[in-house]
Amino acid sequence: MPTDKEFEDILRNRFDDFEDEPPLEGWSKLQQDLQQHRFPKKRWPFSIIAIFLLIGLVWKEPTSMTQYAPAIGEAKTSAFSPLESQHGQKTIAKEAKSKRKEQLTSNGQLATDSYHRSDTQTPMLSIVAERNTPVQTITERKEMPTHQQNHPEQSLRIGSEPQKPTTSIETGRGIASSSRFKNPNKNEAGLNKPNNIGKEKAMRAKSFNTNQEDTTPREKINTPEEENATEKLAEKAVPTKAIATSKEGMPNLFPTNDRQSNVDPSEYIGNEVSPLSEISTSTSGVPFSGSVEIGESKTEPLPSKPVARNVGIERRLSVDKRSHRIDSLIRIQPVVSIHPVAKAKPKPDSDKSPTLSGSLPYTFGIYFSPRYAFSRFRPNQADNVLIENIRTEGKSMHTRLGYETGITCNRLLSDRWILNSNLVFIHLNETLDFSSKSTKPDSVTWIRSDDGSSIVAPHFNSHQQRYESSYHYVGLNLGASYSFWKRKQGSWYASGGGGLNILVRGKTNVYNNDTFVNTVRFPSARNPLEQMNYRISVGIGYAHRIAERAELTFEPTISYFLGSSFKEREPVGMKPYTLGLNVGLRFGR
Amino acid sequence: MHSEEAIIEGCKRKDPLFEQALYQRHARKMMGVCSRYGQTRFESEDIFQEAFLKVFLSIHTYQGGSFEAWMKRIFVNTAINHFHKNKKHYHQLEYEDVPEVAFDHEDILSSLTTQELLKAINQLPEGNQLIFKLYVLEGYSHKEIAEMLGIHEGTSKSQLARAKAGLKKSLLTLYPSLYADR
Repeated sequence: MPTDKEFEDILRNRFDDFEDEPPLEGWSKLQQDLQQHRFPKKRWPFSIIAIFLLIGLVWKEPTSMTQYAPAIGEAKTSAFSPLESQHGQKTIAKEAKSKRKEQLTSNGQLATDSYHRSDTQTPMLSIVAERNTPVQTITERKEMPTHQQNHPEQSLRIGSEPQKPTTSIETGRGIASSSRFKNPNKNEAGLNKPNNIGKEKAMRAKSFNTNQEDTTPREKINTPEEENATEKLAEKAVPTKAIATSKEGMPNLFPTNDRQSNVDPSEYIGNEVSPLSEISTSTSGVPFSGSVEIGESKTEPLPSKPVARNVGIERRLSVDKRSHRIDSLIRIQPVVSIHPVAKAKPKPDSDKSPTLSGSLPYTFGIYFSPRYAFSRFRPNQADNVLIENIRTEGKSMHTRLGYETGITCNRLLSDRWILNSNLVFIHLNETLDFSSKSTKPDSVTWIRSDDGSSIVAPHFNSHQQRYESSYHYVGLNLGASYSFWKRKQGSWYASGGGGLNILVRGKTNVYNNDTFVNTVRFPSARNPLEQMNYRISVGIGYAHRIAERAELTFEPTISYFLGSSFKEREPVGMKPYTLGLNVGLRFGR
Repeated sequence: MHSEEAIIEGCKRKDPLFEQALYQRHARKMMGVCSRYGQTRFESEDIFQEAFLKVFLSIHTYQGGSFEAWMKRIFVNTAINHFHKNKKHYHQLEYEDVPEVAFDHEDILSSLTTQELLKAINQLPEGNQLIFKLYVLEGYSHKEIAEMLGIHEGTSKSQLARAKAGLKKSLLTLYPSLYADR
């Protein structure tokens, strides 16, 4: 009789060489697991998500601010400094031209955005006349003599001899072309430009900050050279608009001419100021005499805050009407014209959510979502199988991981409500392991005891079954989403919906006791629509604005498939849950 | 045909060809080890898959000696981990309380196939069964078993005695015809 030791040795020897058949496709599964551990390729969606999240964290909306293109201020800075180089004025003129954007509107006025003043820019030059003598202000422009046009810097030469003003002969006309100041409302022939015809009479009827009304017809005699020069200027001439001329007591400085009729400053009210080049050139043509000092001086500070209006600056020189001379120190007082032309872009309120105004009613997008499948199942029909030991844990991730992708078309119902429609393609994997026993005994054991009684012990064979399934669906989903928290940079929303999915391809490999039994493929040729299922989805997502009309969305979702119409051939009714993370791009809002 | 050393070196370099060669060389043997510990085929396959994965991922730690023994240790440890996961409970029986039973079934053992023997062993209570397998089939000492399972050494001994007694009953139950003539 063998001892325990011998018994153990016998058993050990019997099992030393014991081998068993490895699982089918064991190596391929092992290979996949190895790849997953070593090369997590399927983590790339999450890597992309992480990258997008990182971008969202560091992305900053450009601070919106009213942009004012410095035009006049900058040009002014160097325009009137007597210390400027000889070519300073030319350079300044060019700069002013390049900076401004002139668009003549139908009425000849500057376009809305043509004049913007930098908040930090203030006129650097002011000419204020000492009011030793009564002055008559003329808010008109005079053309610069040809030789002065060529050498504008000469016109500001201190101590230069006054230029004999040219006169144009015109009756009942404005004074625009009288003397050397160009009336931007007048063409070179001294005729009113079409838009100012109506004002012409008003011009003559009113006086401009003078004590006397001068109704004498204005005259102008232009030399041919001046005519040519002024033609060029005329092309660029824009009607000017005077403003503060309406202010009483405001010294308005302009060299005048005896023969110049009064100019009604009100004519210029509401008009825009001519470009700096005109100012500089025209101003440079001022026939100064005597001690003229032009330099930087204190200026009346312009409004520091951007205003929703164009600001033009016009210089006027007050000239002794009688002497046509500037007797004393003259400083040009900048006068600010204010007129509503363009509204500054309002600073967007960061607390307010973007509204639908200006946005398209539809948005389109694409999305991708990895999906992980769980399952709940029950037998489709009553049978003699007792299911036990359901293995809910997947052997490996890839057996339950699928994906979903699709295109979306969304209709904006309101600022917060969006109607969604998606055309989707879904790929799901599902592996189901369970053991089952028949309710009927597979075998019985009959044991006869010593006392003659018999013991019958039933045996129920346990069958290990495994279903490895792969599904490809095409579906159409409808739903809605509601943004419950909105900011300029993004919004949080909740979504819900449902849809119909049609199985375009699928298969289930059936194993019994680890033995391959068969593969069930569907849909069948006889009934292509045999497996349609319905699903409902809910999710909460975040939409991050990455461009003016583009959003990046992240939305974890849970989908529940309500079962299929395929019950005849499906061994068990599987109703999987899938958990996914939708990452998408949405355009159009 | 590569030598085992070449295959091992190739596996250390994560060469798929060598890894497949290693798998083909040891799969059946290791599946046999897994079959001893798995209650069901599914469980055995789980142990097999998980253990082989560990072999490939930790092959760089193999320093020499019997590679098969090294692999086998990994498989046994994986099986034990599965045992713990399934929360198999077993109570402790004092060794002295187990009655001595004379085992006079040498001929019966020789007339049974390994599969039949395994089936009989699998009929044992799970706790007893594991210790029986570790001690009898794998050759671990009670001290080693106690360390692996986190139990006392005395528990291992008592469980083994109980397993032996249970095996006799299992054989009697499963194969009564073998005892009919005795």
